[in-house]
Amino acid sequence: MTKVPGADRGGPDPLRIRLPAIPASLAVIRARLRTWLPTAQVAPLAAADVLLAVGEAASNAVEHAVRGAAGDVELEVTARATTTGLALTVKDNGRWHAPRRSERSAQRGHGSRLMSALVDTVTITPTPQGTTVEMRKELHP
Amino acid sequence: MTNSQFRLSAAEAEQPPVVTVSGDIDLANVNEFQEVLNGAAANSDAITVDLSDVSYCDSAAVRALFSVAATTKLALIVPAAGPISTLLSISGLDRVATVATRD
Repeated sequence: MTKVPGADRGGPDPLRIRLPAIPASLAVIRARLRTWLPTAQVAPLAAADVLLAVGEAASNAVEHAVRGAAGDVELEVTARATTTGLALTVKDNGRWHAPRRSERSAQRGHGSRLMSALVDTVTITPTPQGTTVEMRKELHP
Repeated sequence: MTNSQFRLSAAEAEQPPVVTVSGDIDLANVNEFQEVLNGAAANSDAITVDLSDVSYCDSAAVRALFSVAATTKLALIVPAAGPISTLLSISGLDRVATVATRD
């Protein structure tokens, strides 16, 4: 097995999940994370925070995909152990819709504030090819 | 998805109807959750939603709860530990509903 830089905590292999961006995929992502997080020595409360932060980002991606015109939007979730915690990404290849001044954007604001409250850093990068959410969760054993 | 995940107990004496939820709530079943909430609120000006056995919920569930709180006095019972209280405070749902914990 090759060593991934930044993954020298002796943790498990990184998790990578690719699924269609549909509501039924959300339960699959949670099931995979619920299995993977304990293997990365993540305590239950921190694991619940990660589950919600990733779930919220994935849910946003599914909602984009539902509203987008083109089909075949995919969702990719990755999780890996770093030296001090976890690095998580939620990526979709749906077309980006600029946020409008509406209740939707207010709710989206809640979504990113929620993620920021649950993990240590959140970076949301929207591009015409899709949106990438990168999160870091520090773990304090 | 079966209805047993969302259980409605009718109003009794002075007590409002109670919706008891277990398991996960997400985009895949939130419409069903919303229907059960609306059904409970249809004949009552107050409802209680017991989320203490909920293993996951996110903004989708919060939107459903906000929607029913617009017309009905909403009381929530939540797990003592875990991120649901963060979810409620960041969304502001804890300002339109009364929140009690159960451990």
